[in-house]
Amino acid sequence: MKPLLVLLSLCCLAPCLLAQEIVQEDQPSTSPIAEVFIPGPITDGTPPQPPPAPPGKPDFKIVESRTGRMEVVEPPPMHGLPPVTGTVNVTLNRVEDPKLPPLPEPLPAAAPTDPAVLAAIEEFRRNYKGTELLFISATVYDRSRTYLRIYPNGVARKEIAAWSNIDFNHFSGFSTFRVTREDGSFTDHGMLMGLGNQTAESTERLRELLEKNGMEYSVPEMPELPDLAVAGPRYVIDEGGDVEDPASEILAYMHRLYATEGARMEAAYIERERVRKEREAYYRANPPKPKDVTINFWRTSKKEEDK
Amino acid sequence: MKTRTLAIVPAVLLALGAHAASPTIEPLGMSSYKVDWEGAANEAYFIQWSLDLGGWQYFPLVDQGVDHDEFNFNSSTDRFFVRVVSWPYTGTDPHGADFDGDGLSNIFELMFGLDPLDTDSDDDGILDGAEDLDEDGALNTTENFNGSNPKVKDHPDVKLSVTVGN
Repeated sequence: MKPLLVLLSLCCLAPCLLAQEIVQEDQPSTSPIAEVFIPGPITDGTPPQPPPAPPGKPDFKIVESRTGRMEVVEPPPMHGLPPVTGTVNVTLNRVEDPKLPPLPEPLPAAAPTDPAVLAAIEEFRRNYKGTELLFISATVYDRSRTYLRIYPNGVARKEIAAWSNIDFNHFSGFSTFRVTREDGSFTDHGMLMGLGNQTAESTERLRELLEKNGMEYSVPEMPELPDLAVAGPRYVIDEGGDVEDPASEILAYMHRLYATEGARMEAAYIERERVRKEREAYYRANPPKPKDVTINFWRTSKKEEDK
Repeated sequence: MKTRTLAIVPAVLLALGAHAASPTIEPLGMSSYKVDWEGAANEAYFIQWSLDLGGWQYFPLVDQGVDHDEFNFNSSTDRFFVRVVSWPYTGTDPHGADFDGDGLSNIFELMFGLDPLDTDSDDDGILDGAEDLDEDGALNTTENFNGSNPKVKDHPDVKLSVTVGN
């Protein structure tokens, strides 16, 4: 190797070696996988806790008021429903200054040299486990096969594409799964998933649309995959997927996860769908109406120090 | 927790001469907010509101210069948007002035739901001042002069007390 190249290589390698040394203790464990599971609950359509009651309204003394009618368009209460439209009364009130009580002062910032603060930071650092982010695109065909594209940490060049015999709709009720190792270490994988469903009818509609516009629709070639009920979760890699590639591991983890948690995931999905359909039917039978709006406004003089 | 979609949107150009002020918003508690902005000499300021970022309405007030009052509001709706629009002005009476030149004073237009920066608020091809909204025989300019309500059929001689400012 030419001396200049050696010098350049050393210059490039030195920071890497240094960085490697610094992060050594944070390197993932190579201990065998012990378990893959969902650490939290799976959404099953149960409504969340109601929000806390809104703060009370100030006691306004109206100086001047006027009301007008206005057409409004509000977002639908749930996906798949039409927007909420209607005419509402909008009342604009000029009011006297309600003399609102001052907000509580923010807590003073803790000194960075405070031993208690340093201890808390150290405790946090010791227990902190980062979450690996997975960007996933999943197209489910006839609720029985899924074409997956996985980008670990959003890196496009690490992409892996595969066919799976799992209905990935079942992966939509939670956001994180955990991989534990035999030495006790673990990694949480957070999922950001774009999910689409294709049926024979929707595929046909897509084909017609493309052909109408002079384009050709190429039917995805689906490889042979055994039935989920018979063989358990299986996949076939379509693109990428070197053995060293972290995306391959991710794919394996997800299928291992379904092998152990699939029944729970499917049951939660079925329940979510039941609740969703029930809600949709309710809103179609009882379309919400926009509410009247009241706006109170008042002026205050600036404090001397604010001027 | 219930979220409030509240935004202060930098003003967009509404008409020739109007431009953005840089407002700030500060929560006051009890679903109330304070709007403030860095005022400039030789500028007049309007405050607009919207429920959907589509149509914008004016609050019935106009400010001027550096030393303006703060504006505070409380809205019953979760989706409420406010923006501040400025207009170059070197005079001393932004209420009585007619920025868009349609024959109606700014405060008259603000009080009765017309646009003080648009000569033809309803886009019907007739200047706001040349219209007779309540069809009582008195043009809006006359109603403005008499201080009467252009949207109520009343005798043009009947005076309407209009309070401006705080």
